[in-house]
Amino acid sequence: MSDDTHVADQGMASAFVGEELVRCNRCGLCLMACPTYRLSAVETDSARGRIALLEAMREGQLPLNAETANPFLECLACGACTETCLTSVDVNELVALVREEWYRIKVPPLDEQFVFNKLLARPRTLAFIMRALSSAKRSGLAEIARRLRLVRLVSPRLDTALGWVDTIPAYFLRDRLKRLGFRKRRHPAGKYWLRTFEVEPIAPGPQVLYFVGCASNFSQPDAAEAAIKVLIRAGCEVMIVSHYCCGFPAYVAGQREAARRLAALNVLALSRYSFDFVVSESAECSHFLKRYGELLDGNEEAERLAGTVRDFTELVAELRLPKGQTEERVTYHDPCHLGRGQGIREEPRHLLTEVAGAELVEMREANSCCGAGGFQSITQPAISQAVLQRKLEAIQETDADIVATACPLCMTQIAQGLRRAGSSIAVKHVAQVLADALEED
Amino acid sequence: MTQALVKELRRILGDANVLDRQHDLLTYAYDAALTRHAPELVALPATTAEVQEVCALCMDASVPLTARGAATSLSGGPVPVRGGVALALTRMDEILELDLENRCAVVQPGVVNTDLQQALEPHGYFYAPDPASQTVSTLGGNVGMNAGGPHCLKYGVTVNQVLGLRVVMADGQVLDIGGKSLRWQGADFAGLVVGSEGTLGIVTEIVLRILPLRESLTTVLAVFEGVEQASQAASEIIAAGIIPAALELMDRPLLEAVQKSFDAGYPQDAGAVLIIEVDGLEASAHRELDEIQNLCRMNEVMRFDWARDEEMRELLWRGRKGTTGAVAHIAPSKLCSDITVPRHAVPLVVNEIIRIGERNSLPVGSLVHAGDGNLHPQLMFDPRSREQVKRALTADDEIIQLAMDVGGVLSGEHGIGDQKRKWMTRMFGPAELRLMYQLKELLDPLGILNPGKVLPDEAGEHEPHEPNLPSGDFKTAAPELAWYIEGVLTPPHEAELVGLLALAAREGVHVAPRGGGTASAVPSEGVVAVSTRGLAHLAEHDHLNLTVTVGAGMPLAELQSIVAGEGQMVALLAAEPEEATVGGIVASDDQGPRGLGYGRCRDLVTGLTVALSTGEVVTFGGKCVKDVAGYDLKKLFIGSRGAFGVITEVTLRTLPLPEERQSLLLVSDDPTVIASAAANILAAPLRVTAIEASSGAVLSEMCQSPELMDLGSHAWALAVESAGIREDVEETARRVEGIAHDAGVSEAQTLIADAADELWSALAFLRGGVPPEVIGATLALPPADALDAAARATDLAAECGLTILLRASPAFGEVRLAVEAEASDEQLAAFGAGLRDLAPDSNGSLRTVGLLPDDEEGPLLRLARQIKGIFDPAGVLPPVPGVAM
Repeated sequence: MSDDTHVADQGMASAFVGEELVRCNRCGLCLMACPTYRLSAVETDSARGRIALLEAMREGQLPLNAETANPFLECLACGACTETCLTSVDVNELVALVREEWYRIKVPPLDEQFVFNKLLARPRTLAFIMRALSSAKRSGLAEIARRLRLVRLVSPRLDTALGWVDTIPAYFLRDRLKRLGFRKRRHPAGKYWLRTFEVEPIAPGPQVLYFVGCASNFSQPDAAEAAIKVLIRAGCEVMIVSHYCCGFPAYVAGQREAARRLAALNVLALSRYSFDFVVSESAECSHFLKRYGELLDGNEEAERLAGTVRDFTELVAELRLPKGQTEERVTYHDPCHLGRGQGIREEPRHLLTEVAGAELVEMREANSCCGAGGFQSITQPAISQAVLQRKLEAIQETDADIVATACPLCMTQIAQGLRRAGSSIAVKHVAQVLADALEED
Repeated sequence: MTQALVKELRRILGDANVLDRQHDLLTYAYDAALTRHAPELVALPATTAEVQEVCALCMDASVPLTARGAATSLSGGPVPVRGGVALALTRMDEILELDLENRCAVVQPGVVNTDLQQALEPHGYFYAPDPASQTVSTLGGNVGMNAGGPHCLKYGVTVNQVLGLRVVMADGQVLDIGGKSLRWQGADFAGLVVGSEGTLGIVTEIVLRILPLRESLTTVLAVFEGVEQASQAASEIIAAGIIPAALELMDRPLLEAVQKSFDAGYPQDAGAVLIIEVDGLEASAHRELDEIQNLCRMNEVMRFDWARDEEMRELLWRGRKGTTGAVAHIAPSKLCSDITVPRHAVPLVVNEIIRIGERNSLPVGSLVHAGDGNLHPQLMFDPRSREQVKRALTADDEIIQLAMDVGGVLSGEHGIGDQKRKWMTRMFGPAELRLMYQLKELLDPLGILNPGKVLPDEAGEHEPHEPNLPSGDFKTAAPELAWYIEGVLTPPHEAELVGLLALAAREGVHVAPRGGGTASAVPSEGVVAVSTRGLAHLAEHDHLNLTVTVGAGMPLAELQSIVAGEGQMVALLAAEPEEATVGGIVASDDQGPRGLGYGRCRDLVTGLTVALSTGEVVTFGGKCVKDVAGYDLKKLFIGSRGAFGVITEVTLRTLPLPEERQSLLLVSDDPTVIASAAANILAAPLRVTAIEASSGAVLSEMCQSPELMDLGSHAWALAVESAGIREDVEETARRVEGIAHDAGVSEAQTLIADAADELWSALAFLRGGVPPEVIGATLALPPADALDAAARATDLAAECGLTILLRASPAFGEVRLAVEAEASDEQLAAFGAGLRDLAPDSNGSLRTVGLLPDDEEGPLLRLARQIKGIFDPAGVLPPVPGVAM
């Protein structure tokens, strides 16, 4: 993923696409990096294949239709191809462009449209729906509704999603703020939640605006909670404000306009406050937030905001924490959006071994995609599950007690896979391993 | 393509494995070169049986069938230029067996090269060929193109690693070639299929040789101011007889391009670098490096950048292997040329290529496997400019012309594909090409396998060859020519020899070719013995290139003394070197025990000239060590004992004479002790050049040296030779003794030079059924079974009341035995039948002389006879050697 590409205003016919395409010499070195090619061993499912298709489309040899759009819709946007590419052809960007073009031709599925265009921009409604789904899931109502095929009638993707997640927590992260010691503060820009340290630290840490990602809030609140606890332990002052989805799920699904809208909303919502860093324990969110500048065509506010974004593991590795004690064997999965996306590979490992004191057992292909890829686990369930299989095998080979990672989407994906495989390996965020180890001492 | 065919394919492979939608077809229309053409259908078989059915169907329907792996080829090889079916073997990606005991791996064609490497590493082994595409390219593709890579300099290219192949022929029949033995019975068909780009058959299973991991590995970047100095240094390193594990040259444009992609640690102040890698035992690594450094200093090296750790080493290689991709930082597209030239010509050619770039106003970078003279000039251009594309193609043509002008070849490792077909008529004469066409037609009569590749489209019918025959008839003409020497016709020149063959063909006189006669039977009634002894000239000893070209009739001793004049040797060993000729050794593939350390005949012969009974003289190969132009027909003449033609001239690799040579003799009464000692020696990364076992009694009887006379008291003796740099040899000897001790041998002694020579000469003599008077057998089998088979054969002989002379090779997987003294027909029949049961069920073959009738039914033999029909249509040359099972 090269940093100098300009995301906005790029059609398939643009000069940007031309420059990217001409740099691909069909050398094929990206083939085995591509999780979808590894699955099928079919060229059409590879990065090189997608580039060839896009080129054919540009030259008018191939129409964009439901069939030809499919290889692009199936891409997990893991970026592994670009990492192996010696000329760094930005495949993710090219794929996103085709998806976008496709959804200009074909109206996106109604449920996707509703989610990306309406729901993600309305946090309260989203929370309300999630709460209802949570009750339904936990009471078994959801299962009955699914069996009666009622859910599928409303939204096939919701049907998949409900079957996919084990459970939806009863209390989301934002429900827990009070218990976590956050207090409401007033501010000219609007109310916000603040958690200061109880004892004045010798060297006060930075002021952190904590970005609560959707998956963190609704699916893995324990991970976000742990992250916040660790930040506080490290002397940070943590504030939480109202904001929107980071926009990545919309972006990766080809709804770039929806993604840009969400990004713009977030820039407005966050820039009003003063803080040192925007931090998230969701690698996908931190990665996408860092790209706001290019996404919004170099908008100054957006650039400035993007410059303050740190992934949780990135920031904490620089802060001072006591050394913890844990007996457990941990293996680590690199989320695509952390390792490849942000180049953060050493920091989480350092936190696990040097700070938490865990024994780290590397799995093979630790940096390969788990198959979650934005919403792909829901929009492309078959491929997502098949890619996950390889990851599960690698995890189980290590014989670790815990598989740690740094992204709530990876966590949910791997957890449901391990549960189905009957494995006892626990899935935790690096923040949770840290928090547990620090509590023990 | 008919709907019926599509439907049938779907039935066989399943709907998901037959692709015919437009966008799927488009992604099967390219490789990493410039050729583009879409198939009409993509088939993804999962088993050999499925491939067979697909072949049979396509043959019935006359539909083109183009096999492919990952399509990383640089010559258009896997692009279906005539449409039809693209047969993607990527789903057949299973490593079937890692057989460490026999030092081989059995794989399906879709296994990615690196995946095999990774599977081997924990066991302490590696697979040598490492093409730049290795992280994605498949072993099937590597076999199809005879892929090389930087580390082929020391360990050989793909063809040198292939022990066995399962090939599906155009009609769907399966042909199993070779096995786990390094010894072949008869002609080297696998050598023909490797590099044939899927035009002769489709490989569905591969047995590959693997090697123990090197103990030490040192990588250094020698930084030079200019490309002249770097290439001169490389050339001098080879000429000094040093063969590093890798010796790669990159010039400034390429160094810059790679550094733009990522920090590979390449200097930006250099005109060129050599990536030099030295491997082997810790003991000698510094010696080799010192010498290399000295040669670099003499060529004004600026400095040496050492790879301090594994990470840096990997970066250096990642940069080197990514070069052809990275050049896109200079211009959007590139044409990666591929030529091989004699190694001392590299500096000249590199300079000339720079001028070609200038002349055509194109940026050009030089990427050179400097050690084996294989150059990959990168011609950079913008594909959006027609004019630039044209200039790139012109420059490529000029580069190929340049290669041929200096005695080089069309392609070193990328293949001919469709891009270099037009050059084939320049590279080969009409006779060589006709043989290639006929071979292709025999194996693929309808031309369905990867059409439009390797061979140029035939321009009309070929003129039948009109040989220039000597006057008169054979019976009267020959004696008049006064060529009879002791009852053998010995023509003094190639022209007379081929004339004689043509005359014999016209009159149906059977001819028995021979060299010195050390392994030739007395010709039967009506067969005329024709010797090559008259052709004993030295054509060229290119000592800087490490090759020698001589007449086939030159005795081995004479050849050795010629090359020794430049401090070199050839790795052939014969019991009677004064008589045994080079041609005879190659024709019988009987090079003696040193093949382990230096390569077998099929690895050592780089070029052959052959006289055919059609009156033609044909030449295949030359003095380039990497050569994948056209079908490698020379392989057919190695080991086929004159069945296809009479070898008249041979080009062999030469090697520097070793600084030190040492032989150890280990003895024991228990063959399993000898077997385990041998297995452990072979599993260690030692500098062992030969390892052979025999019975103590036999050796003591054959030898005069006092050390060897006492051997009779031991049932089994294992001879181990180490040769090379002194430190390596001493370290090897020390460790071999340790291994022997641990295995429980009774005694291990180092032999003095005379005794060692006598021992190896005796072992070379024990080569099995040597006519005229000796009845014998050769068993080829998995190496780990060799000693057990030898012991059982000895017991069997005793049961039958026979005495045998025997040699077992735990390195090659070979047992050779000869029956001594008089024996009754019943005894021999019983022994023969017993031997037949002895070779393991699979992967073994048995050839006998005077024991068992040849197997008439083998498909390989049937094929060999058909091929013989092309080379010797009159059938006057000896029959193809058969096997008994």
